[in-house]
Amino acid sequence: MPRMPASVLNYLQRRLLRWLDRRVPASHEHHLNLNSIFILPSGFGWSFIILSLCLFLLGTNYQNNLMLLLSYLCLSIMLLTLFYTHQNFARLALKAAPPRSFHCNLQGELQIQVIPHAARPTKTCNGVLAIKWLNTVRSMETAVHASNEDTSVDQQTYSFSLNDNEVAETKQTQTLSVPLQIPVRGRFALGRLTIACDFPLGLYKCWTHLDFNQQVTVYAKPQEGPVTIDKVASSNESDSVSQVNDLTSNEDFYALNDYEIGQPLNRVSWKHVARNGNWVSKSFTSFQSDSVVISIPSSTDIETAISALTYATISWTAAERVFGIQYKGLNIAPDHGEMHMHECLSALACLNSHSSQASPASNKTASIFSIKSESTRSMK
Amino acid sequence: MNAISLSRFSRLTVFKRVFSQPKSVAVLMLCIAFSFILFTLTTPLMTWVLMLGGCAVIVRTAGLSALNSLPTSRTVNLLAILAVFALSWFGFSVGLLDSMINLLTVACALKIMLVEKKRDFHLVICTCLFLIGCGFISSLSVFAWIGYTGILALLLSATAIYHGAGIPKTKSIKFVTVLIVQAFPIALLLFLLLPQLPPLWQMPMSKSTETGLSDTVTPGDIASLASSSELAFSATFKSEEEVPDASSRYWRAMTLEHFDGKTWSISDKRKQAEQQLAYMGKSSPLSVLAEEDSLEVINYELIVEPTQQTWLFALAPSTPNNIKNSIFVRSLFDFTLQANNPISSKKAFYLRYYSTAQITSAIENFEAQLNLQVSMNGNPRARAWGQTLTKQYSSAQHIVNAIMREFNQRGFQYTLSPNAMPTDPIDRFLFEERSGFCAHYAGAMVYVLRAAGVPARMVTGYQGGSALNDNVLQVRQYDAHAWVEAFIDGVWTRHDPTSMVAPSRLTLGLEHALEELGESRQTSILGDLSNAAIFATLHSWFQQLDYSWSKWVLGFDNTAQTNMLEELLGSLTPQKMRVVFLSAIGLIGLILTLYFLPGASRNTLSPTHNILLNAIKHVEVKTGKERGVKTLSAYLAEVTPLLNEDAEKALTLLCNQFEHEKYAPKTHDAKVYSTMKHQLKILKNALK
Repeated sequence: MPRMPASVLNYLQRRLLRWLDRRVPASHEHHLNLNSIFILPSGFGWSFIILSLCLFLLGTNYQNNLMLLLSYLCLSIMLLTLFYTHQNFARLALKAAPPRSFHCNLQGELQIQVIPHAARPTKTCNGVLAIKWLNTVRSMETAVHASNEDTSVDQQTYSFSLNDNEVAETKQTQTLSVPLQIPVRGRFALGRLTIACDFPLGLYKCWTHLDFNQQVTVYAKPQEGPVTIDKVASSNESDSVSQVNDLTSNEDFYALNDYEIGQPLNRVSWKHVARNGNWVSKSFTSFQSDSVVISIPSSTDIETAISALTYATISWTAAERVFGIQYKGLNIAPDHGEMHMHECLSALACLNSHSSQASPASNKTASIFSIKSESTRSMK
Repeated sequence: MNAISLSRFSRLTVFKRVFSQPKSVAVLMLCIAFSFILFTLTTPLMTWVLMLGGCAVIVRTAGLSALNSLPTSRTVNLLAILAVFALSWFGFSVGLLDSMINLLTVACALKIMLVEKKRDFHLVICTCLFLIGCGFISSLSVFAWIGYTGILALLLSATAIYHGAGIPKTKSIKFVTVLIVQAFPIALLLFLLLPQLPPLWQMPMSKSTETGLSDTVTPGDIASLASSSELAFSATFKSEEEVPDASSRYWRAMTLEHFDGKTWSISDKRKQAEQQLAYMGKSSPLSVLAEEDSLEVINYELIVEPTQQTWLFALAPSTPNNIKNSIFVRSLFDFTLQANNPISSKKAFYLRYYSTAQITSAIENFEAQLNLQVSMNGNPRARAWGQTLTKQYSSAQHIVNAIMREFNQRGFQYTLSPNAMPTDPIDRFLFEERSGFCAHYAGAMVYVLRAAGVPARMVTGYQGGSALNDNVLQVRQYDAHAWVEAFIDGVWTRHDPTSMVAPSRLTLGLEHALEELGESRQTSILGDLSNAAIFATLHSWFQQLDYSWSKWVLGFDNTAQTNMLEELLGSLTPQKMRVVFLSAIGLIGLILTLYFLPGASRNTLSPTHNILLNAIKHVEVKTGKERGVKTLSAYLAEVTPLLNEDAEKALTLLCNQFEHEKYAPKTHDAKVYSTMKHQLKILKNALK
């Protein structure tokens, strides 16, 4: 049971996010405007105001017009800086590139490009951008995840000083890589970034909460573990049980033979087919060169199993071997190569920890959203 | 040899590194600003605080390079504890206000050594701004204001550079300059229209800055004032005719009625009597005078320099015009004027001078009795002389005349550096030394008069004043003077014994009198410089500026504000005030839109394009051929025959570079910009 203040806080944050969704809708590209910019005096700004008021009091009590004038000057500077800060920040336009997948134990990054603003193409935003994740992940379930696993939202602020290319007018855009930490595997829609700037004098903090409408797959943490290797030929029997720990063993490419019908397609040397139309198949020296399916008995803890499978996927791909994965509801046909690895990893990442029997038909490409919706359902 | 050049080289690179980091530059500028502030605050600050501040600046500046390390926070904390002890030790002697300023400075100096984070930087900036405010307590001139605004600009530039990350420093400085220039009209508007409030509570006053006349006179004090040529006050009259003659410019400040044999002071009995009379609600003769309509009245305005005292200087008899005065002025029974608060900044006072009225007494018996008291402490010969005078002459007026004659005829001399007269000062002055200045003469005369049975008192104030304008008199500290009032036939009459000895002191001023006597005021060497014509012109110009500044900026108070608004709008009603405030807000809004609304004329062309257009404009003026809508190359072909060789070459180069920059794939263009600028210069020269 969540405690009372925490729930209130959660509620408030949800309200805030809903309000923000209406006010600053998610988009790949943001051109800041009156709607999306918030501005308030910073700590320095408040002390500047208090200082001005103190000077006013001092000037009044000493009947000293110069002190009064100084105080009014400070207040006017404060007022003008409000507009300057806003003006500067309103020149900012950002565009996000689709983020690359990463493992949950590592740090990913969201790359944001600074682009010329649509309304003010000649001027650029200056100063230091302080970027922070408001909520790393958009959906609600991760907040529960996070609170369960005691990994709070990434509170670190990242600073990027913007290039001054107003004079140089070089059109080369600046790219800001914002580190991204999601400690759980899965497919996530990224949440809002808080981008702040205090450019000319630091008297005001100008900020915005932007949702770049990006999704990222967070792979499970690779961890070595025992896996079962089945030959495809012997279908579902798990006859040859071998504890494979050293996967870089002999699996050298041996020869090219004429292709015979019945041989697995992934053995075909497509290069040769493409070049001269000859169907040849590759054969490997080791007995493992046959396509295999990696699996783990379903009695193992699901996270451990997924970590082990992730590790196996990476190392088998590094060794350029053909493999498929079979675990619980997940069925991936044997294949090899980088693409295959990412497919496997994504499928593993999105494998629902609670739906071992619920999703027999979920194939790997369609699984992303269905699993997500299931998981939200299961959370409720 | 090699080592030296190497070390020099490394030092150079160190400097370069420091200047390439915006934060280091910002801290450096902060240090410079702080040392300027220290420089301006030398009066209120104690020597050790100044030294601490200086050391902090040096340490911090040295610490910017990696070669020297900054003091650790432990060292600084230790220093802070020491400083707190020292401050609390010395704090009692310098007074609350000064110790506060010292405390702020110490805090700022200690923090400046530790500036690491943003927060520290902001803290130091705020403290420095507050110190600037404190600086205005004591220095109020135009130049102080300009200087402090400069320091403010420096502080803001430091902040801008600190926050500006990569942008060039010159740009930050330019931005701050523009910002201050833009902020100024708004500040001025606020200054003119926001109500000027009366002091909300009593503030501690600086002890050391009490200036001008003191309320005791030991002959010698006024001479020390004579070495100061600082302005005491300026008096503005309505017209030239109303300015009093040189011989009647007696600015009365206070009456000294008690004498202990050495020192004249304000009588305690007088103070008690004033209190009692005020308690009884009796109106002073001056307030009675103010209600009379029949008398001729001269209105005038005094702008008094800060004295930290409550005494006002007025032509006698004058009544305060308290409707206009921002500080209430009480009129006392001895016809002196006293403000309710010490005059801590330049202040305007409005007074009415009744040139035909006389100084009467509402409490004759008390005053007569008080002013007949003769101190039996020493001075027997003077007392004896007084008694003989009583026997000799029948009326008080005759006695006065006799004494004046004595001063005139017995070889008395006027000097600002008389010999010391520690015992029996009046006897020694009258019968042995026979040389002294106004306080000696006035003191001796009052003493003798009292001994002779004529009630008399010493009055101090200023005498004279130089004309700044036709209707403005400026009175300086060296115009301080003392004279005698004798109570004759129910009226206090003024007698100035100094006039018997040095008549030019009264008609031409102190400087002239001393010149005649072959003495000088012992001022600085700069005094000689002021004789040169150009310096005299400059000097008078500065005086004029200072006067205008005092009158319009420093003297701008509630009255002046109301006057200004009344002149603009007629009589003020609450509705009108509301309109004024709304229109002030509207005006500020208008100013802001002027600054920030992207105007149609806003230049959005690239800098290189601007240069080209500039060049073409020059060529158009020279050749008289308009470019109109022709293409660049067509126009170029048209005008080249009309230009000389240099101009043609420069223009062609400019056009080529512009086209290259505009249409060719991107090249590095900062260089193009500078070469184009150079070509433009050549072109301009060639077209001349």
